[in-house]
Amino acid sequence: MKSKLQTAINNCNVSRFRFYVQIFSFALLVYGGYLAINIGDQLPTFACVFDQMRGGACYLMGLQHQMTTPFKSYFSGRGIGMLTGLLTFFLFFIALNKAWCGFVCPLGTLQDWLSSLRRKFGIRYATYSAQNFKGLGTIKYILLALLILLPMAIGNSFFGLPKLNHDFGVPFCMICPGRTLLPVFHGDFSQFIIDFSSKTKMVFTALGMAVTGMLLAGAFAKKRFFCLFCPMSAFHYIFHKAGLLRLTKDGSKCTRCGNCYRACDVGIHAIADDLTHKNIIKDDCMMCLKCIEACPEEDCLKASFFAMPVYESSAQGFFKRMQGKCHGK
Amino acid sequence: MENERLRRVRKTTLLHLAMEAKNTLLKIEEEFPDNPAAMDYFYTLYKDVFNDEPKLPTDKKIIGTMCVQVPQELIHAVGAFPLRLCNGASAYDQVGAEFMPAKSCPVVRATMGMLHVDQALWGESLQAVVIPTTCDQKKKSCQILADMGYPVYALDMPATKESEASRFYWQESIKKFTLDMQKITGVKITAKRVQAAIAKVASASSLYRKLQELRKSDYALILGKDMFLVTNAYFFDEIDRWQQSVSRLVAELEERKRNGFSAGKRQAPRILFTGSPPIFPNLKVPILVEQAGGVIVADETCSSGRLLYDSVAFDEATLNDMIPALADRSLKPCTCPCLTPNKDRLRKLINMAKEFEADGVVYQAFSGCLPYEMEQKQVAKALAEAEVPMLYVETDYSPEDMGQLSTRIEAFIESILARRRKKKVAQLHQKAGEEGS
Amino acid sequence: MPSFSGGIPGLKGSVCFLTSVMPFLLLGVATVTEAQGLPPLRLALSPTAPVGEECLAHGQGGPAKGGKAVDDRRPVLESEHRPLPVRTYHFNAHRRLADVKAYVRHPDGTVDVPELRLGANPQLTFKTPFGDGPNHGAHNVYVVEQGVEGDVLVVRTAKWIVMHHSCGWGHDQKFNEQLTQPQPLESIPMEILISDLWDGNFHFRVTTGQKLSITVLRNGHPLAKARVSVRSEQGWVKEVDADKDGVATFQLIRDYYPTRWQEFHRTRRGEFLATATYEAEEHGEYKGIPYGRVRYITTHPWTYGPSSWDYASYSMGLLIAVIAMALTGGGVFIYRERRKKPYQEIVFEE
Repeated sequence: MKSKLQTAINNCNVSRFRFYVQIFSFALLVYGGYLAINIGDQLPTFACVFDQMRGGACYLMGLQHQMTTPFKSYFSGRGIGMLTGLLTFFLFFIALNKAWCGFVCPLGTLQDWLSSLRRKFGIRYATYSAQNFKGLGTIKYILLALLILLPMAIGNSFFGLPKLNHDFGVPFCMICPGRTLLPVFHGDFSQFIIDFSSKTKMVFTALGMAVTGMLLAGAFAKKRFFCLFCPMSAFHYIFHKAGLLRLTKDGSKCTRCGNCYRACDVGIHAIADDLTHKNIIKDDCMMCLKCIEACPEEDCLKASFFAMPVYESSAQGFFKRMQGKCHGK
Repeated sequence: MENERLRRVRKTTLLHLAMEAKNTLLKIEEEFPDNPAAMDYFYTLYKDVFNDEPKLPTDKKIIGTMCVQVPQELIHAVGAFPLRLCNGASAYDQVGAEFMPAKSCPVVRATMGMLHVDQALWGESLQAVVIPTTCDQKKKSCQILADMGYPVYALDMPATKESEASRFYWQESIKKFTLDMQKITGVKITAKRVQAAIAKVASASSLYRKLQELRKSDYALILGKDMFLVTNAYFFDEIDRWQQSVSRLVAELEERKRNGFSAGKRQAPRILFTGSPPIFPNLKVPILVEQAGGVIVADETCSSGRLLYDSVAFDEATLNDMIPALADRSLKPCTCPCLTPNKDRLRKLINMAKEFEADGVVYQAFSGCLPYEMEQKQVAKALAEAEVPMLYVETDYSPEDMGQLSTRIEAFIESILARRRKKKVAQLHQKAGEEGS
Repeated sequence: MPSFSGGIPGLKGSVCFLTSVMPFLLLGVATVTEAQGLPPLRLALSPTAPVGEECLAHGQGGPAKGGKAVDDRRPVLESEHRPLPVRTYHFNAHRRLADVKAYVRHPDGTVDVPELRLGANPQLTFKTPFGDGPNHGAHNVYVVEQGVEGDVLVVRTAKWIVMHHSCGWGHDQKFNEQLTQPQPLESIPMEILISDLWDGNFHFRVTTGQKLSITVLRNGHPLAKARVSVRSEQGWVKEVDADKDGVATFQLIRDYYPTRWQEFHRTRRGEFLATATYEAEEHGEYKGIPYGRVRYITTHPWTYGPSSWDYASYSMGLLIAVIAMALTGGGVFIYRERRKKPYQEIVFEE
């Protein structure tokens, strides 16, 4: 028998909880600087460095920067710096696992807000077929490879090719919509520019603005549009097995009703169809836990921290939430 | 002339039906002690419905359905009354046999017989008969019914549910059905109405799930024969009234649980019932099982478990999200044997056997119901691997095989008890061995 | 949390300046005050010409390649990029008989006397230990020369701000005004404070077009009516009298006009020099020598870069974003409309 507390938690509406956590995290990461808060420079989430009032910084920026180091310096103090950076990132990451995306990421939150705007307008959301998802899913790995290789080619020469110039320094940041959009939240529009000072800068800033435009329109139509391409999400996936927060599935209890798949903002098919793997986290997963909410089978889907159950699917909770939904929230 | 004959056939059929229903109810009510007080509503309900003067169950417009794949929510949303037509009466079966092939399934035969005999009953109120294209017999009955003059609506269903294409195909089918429901009834389907209908059906299934949870208790709180009546009543009862009565039943069973009450013998073998749907008054096999000392603790049939268990989940309260969600509910988790492959049914049975701690499975197949007959081997194999004994019973609506069935069922129950004793002895030996060493 | 050493791009894509010391390349350039007799005292990184290792990483100097136009970018000195443990600065000729003193005001407010070497090549040296601590931030370096000439007390002071910073030490100072605003030293007879020279992360900030608010202080108190001038790299000079609060305001003009677009460099830096002079009838005695008049001259250099307006366009940015948005939105709309049509046929690709 479950404890009363666990039952009460399982009956909760985690989406509502997530909504408030997202607001809190957004404020913390975007405005934290006003309170002199800095929770770290190796965060596994898009706390944008270009936001002067941020309350923490995204690890990808540091990673890209470190990659400009010449190979020979890898074994010096620089190498230790890089390792400590990665280790810090890793420690941050495993605490929340991919819930960094679903609960903390300011850019993800922004997209969720765009989605609710769309919902207010009564416009339907876009759905992609499994094949489309598969195709789009590889983009984030390509971006991840590029954001490591391009900076490497600044400090090092590959195959005797000339080194790249420093304008290639943080290639992903240049096209990341976090750079352009997050500073806007305290009135800083300075990233909305096309930089004509060099060709590289011009191309990168133009790409950045194009991606920004695409994100605004895309996230309006498709839930969590950018997350499908997010290299941070790909980077997370390398470490996800070490995550302390886990999303597990008991395949024997699954009826394959597909409710979880319906609820999934990033359209993960495996959540409904995979009956063999216990650890069900996929690279696109953001651990928003909406799948658990939508699952009417007792203990089929489960989020646990350090093997302690945090949130479990239950019939009682399911019907409670559905009734809530059916009576206008 | 023809009309006169039909009138006569109808009269004898209805007498026959009333008797059949009375006999079954008598068995259910009188032959078992300690029926829950909340069951009285259902006993009375069946007495009112199954007599020699059938009435329409409602004043509303009626949409007749067959199979579990028709989304009732859409029928509620247009303010109509969903009436499940699948029939279990031997009386109607005999009528159906007159114009249906001898080897066809008794469910289809009885349903067709009922529709044939009672055609005058419906009048204007039956707006459509919605038949999903599930098994071949249901499919072909579309044409026969259309020839009789019924407003048949064939709900186009894929033969498999695995591929994404079939899922979308079915979603489009249901979307089209939504538009057609509007046309047929002249009522506009709005998001608000669908939402309310989903809520209504969801609270019914949440009640059903509560009953299921209670059936998992160590001692059976309610017998299977009563459960079949409860779920079967959902076919034709007003949903609000049904819910009120089931709530009372749930409360009573909870009370029984607190008191440590057992509906059957405490050591009674726990049986999981599956296969062709037992529909009142044909509850022959379930009653025989419980007369033989078993207790049906769970069932996996489309007349009961599959009807109310699966639930709709939608993300956004718009028609574009809710209607596909309705479609998904009736296809994705469906374990109807007309689908292929149907591995989900095997998994479901094994999981149910585990969750309900079933000691054995009784698999009923109506002769003529090919999908269930053909799936028997796979189920038997899967259950054997899971070490759950299974009894396969091929039967129909006629009471003729009762004697033979009761012998086989009694032997099965006895074999479960023997198995249990053997296990216990082995355990004792082992324990003694451990203590000795 | 030390993470990565090396710079990160700051606002407007400018390169992070780990240490912004203002080297003077144009030593000996005549200034407006020359007419008064003595040149103002100035601090510089090198006694004559720019020296120090060129920073390859930022590759902005070096010989022109392949017969292309000569690169107009100033070689970047090593000490502008990396925090150094010991700093040495030079200043121009002092008077032999005058009293020369030097002071360093550290970010935490403590004052040290640097090692001072006078003579033919006057210079001063002090230590700047690494790390995010009391040494992290702006170190004011002062040279004060006082002496009586005739009956005039001539006081020449020079100021320099050393930004001792590495991004790896963190950027947590942005709300500490003591660190992010220039701090005066009361014991200095006359000095200049210029606002907004660096941002909250100790990164270089001045660009052309920016308003400079210059405050003249005499022993830490605002000095009214001092004459203040600013001279840009190209020789543009403007003189203004400070108001009653000792404040003079200048707008730095744009003076960087490469002839071709390709030659424009966002990271190019020029130097401006702010000078303040003050003369008054004042009677007194300095080291036993009486005087009837005082003359103060003080300098403060800093570097500036091109304004982002010179190379960045909001309108293009917005245009591209809007086009991308419209294309995506339109694409989604058209796709949805097309999907409403009946199923498309299957076409075999042969």
